[in-house]
Amino acid sequence: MYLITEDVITSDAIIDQLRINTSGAIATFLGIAREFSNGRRVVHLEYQAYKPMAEKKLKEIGDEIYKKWQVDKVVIIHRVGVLKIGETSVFIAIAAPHRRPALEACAYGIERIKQIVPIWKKEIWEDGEVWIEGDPSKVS
Amino acid sequence: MKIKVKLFASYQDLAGKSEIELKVDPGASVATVLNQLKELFPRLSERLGSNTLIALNAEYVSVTSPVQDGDEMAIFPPVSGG
Repeated sequence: MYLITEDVITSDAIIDQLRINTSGAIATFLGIAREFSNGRRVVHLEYQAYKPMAEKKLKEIGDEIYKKWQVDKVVIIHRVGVLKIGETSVFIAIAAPHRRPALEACAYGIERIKQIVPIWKKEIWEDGEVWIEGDPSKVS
Repeated sequence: MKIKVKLFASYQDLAGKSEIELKVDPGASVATVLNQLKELFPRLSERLGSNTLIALNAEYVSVTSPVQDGDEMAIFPPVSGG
């Protein structure tokens, strides 16, 4: 499942769907809206996506994972819109027969999101706001 | 011919628009369209450079790619999801 959504991400229900007989491991990653960024207090975050391309790129990351590791299921969900501090911005879950591919694929997934998926984060502070820009050298 | 150009994040703020339609000459490339955008949006033009990412019909392309009638082009700064 690959999804860009404005809705709150409810990870527990999705994790339960990944409890399948062939998978001995489920690895998850949750990105969380953090209150402090380089010493500044963040009031909330706003994420914007180029939705059709972002969903396509999430699927590409999933396809890369299925090629590189023996995994049963890949779920990647990214939230957009306004997020309160403490809410989940991104959720990745990988079900695999064994722990190593699950953990490695999960780590790979979040790195790839930060490289190729057209989503941008804006930090809104008490006295200003800024669009965060990623590392420009990583797109491929 | 006509194409649609989408702008995201800081580029959207600098241009004051999230999407525009442009008339482009047959044989135009992504670079041609970028030059048109620079003329239309001087504040944005200062930010367009080697870090700028470009997509054509939802796939990354380089500035040399040709554009076709009806294409959807998108320009945006380095991504920062996660």
